[in-house]
Amino acid sequence: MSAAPALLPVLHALRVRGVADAGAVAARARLPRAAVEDLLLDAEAAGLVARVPFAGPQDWSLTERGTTHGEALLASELEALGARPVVRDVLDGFGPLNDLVTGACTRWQLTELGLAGPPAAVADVLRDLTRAAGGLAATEARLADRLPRFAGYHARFVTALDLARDDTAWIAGIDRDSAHRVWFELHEDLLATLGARR
Amino acid sequence: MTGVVPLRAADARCGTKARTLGRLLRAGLAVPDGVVIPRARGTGWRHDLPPHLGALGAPTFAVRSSSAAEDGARASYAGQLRTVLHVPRAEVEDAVREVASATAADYEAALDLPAGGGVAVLVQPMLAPVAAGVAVTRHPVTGVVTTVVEAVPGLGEPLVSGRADPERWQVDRGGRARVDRARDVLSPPRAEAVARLAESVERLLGGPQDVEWALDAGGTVWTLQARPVTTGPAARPGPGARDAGTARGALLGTGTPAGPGTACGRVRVLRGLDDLPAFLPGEVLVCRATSPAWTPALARAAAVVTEVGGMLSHAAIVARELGLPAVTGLARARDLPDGALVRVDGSAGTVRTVVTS
Repeated sequence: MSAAPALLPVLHALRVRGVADAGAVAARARLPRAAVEDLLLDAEAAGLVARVPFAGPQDWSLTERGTTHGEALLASELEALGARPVVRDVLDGFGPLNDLVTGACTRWQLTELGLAGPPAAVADVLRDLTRAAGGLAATEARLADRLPRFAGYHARFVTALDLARDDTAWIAGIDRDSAHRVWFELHEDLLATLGARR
Repeated sequence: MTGVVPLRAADARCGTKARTLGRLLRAGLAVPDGVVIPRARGTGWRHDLPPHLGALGAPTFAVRSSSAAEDGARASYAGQLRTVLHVPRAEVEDAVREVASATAADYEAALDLPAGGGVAVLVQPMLAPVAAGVAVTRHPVTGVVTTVVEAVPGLGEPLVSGRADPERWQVDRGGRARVDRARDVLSPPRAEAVARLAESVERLLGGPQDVEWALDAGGTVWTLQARPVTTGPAARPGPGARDAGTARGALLGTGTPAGPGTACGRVRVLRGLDDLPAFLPGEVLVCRATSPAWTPALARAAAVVTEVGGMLSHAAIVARELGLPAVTGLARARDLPDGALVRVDGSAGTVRTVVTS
């Protein structure tokens, strides 16, 4: 089954989403749902994916074996497309942009908890995140030039920021495609693509 | 002194759970009318109990502990078996003893209670609900003033113990219900009725509440338990929130204080994704770092401790969204003793043993 060309996007969708049902995997992998359901059952039989404790009954997650297998497939893809240097370069320069996003999310959370030294104004937090969105646009363009599957993070991040103007739960909420969640996924994607772990 | 107290007369000796329910009962809310045994580890109640059970007139009973300090949502996992359901009248005495002894040393230690203190046990007629669940009068993550109703078919125990996949509603203060996750359990009017009950409890007790409820076939919404929710966003704090200052126990490690609050639980070291099934709700999740796949387990943890990362790490951000005490960057965290009862202080950045003698 490792020859199935659609296995990589399915495993990768689970790697970056963490936990997802077949519909969410299909949307992330841009594959038909029925095909994804079959692939997931095959992958379960091969010990690559498993049902997740504490999540919904239809949710899947990778096993360690699935994570390792996914990394091997990603490495092949990376070599075939000659994309390793650009991903390496992006991850090496990711720190400042990552700090801008996680710092803004943290300041906002501490403000909501009443623990921020001076409370953060939501406008300032969103300004920092919008600045990060600019960096993300450039980063994503470089990545997607070699690896088209990186396209889409910027659009999702900007959508979350737009929604956050009316409802600040879109900054760091875990129950939605919030700015932090999209960013967390991108970070995981960069690490996974280079076969690195946190 | 009688060893058995009617629920509507429950006072401080009867524990927080029973005292709160007694108050709600007196205020006219639907609460299964029962009795409390304030010192269930003694024997002074044995002869008084049967006539009370007869007067309650139910075929089966629910037997639950009602310790003084168990109003913290996460405290319910610190003790093991504290609830016995569907108990026939002839077996209630044994069930009371069982619950009383299960609510013992570990639990008192976890909550800094004096060892050997009185354990109150509550006995109520068993309901046969068509649906049950919890209702919280603040959004648990954002802190917004809205009532979040979670519902499962039948009895609510799987939900309360974190094993079910509940239906979820949000009911705003105008009484309008919106389903977030439909599971064909409640209709909008039923969800609104549950929210109205939770809001009545809030008005009676003052402050945001976390209400366990049950709906019977006749449409009555019963209150099974009510606990305060500390105000402020992301605040469903663990049992230690108010004993954060009593730092007894050996210091096991210090890291970055990354998510405020204090909670007690057993250490569960997770070395990878394949360890996730070993994790139990209410444990302290200890790992090197978290990736997106860990979020569902984090949502059920008492606290999280990571080896790497700081205040800004993804694990810290997710923990704060969950209202979870978090310590990050604690060196060699994965060497913490698996299964040990610890207190994680996410405001001080410490992990300490809980004294059990």
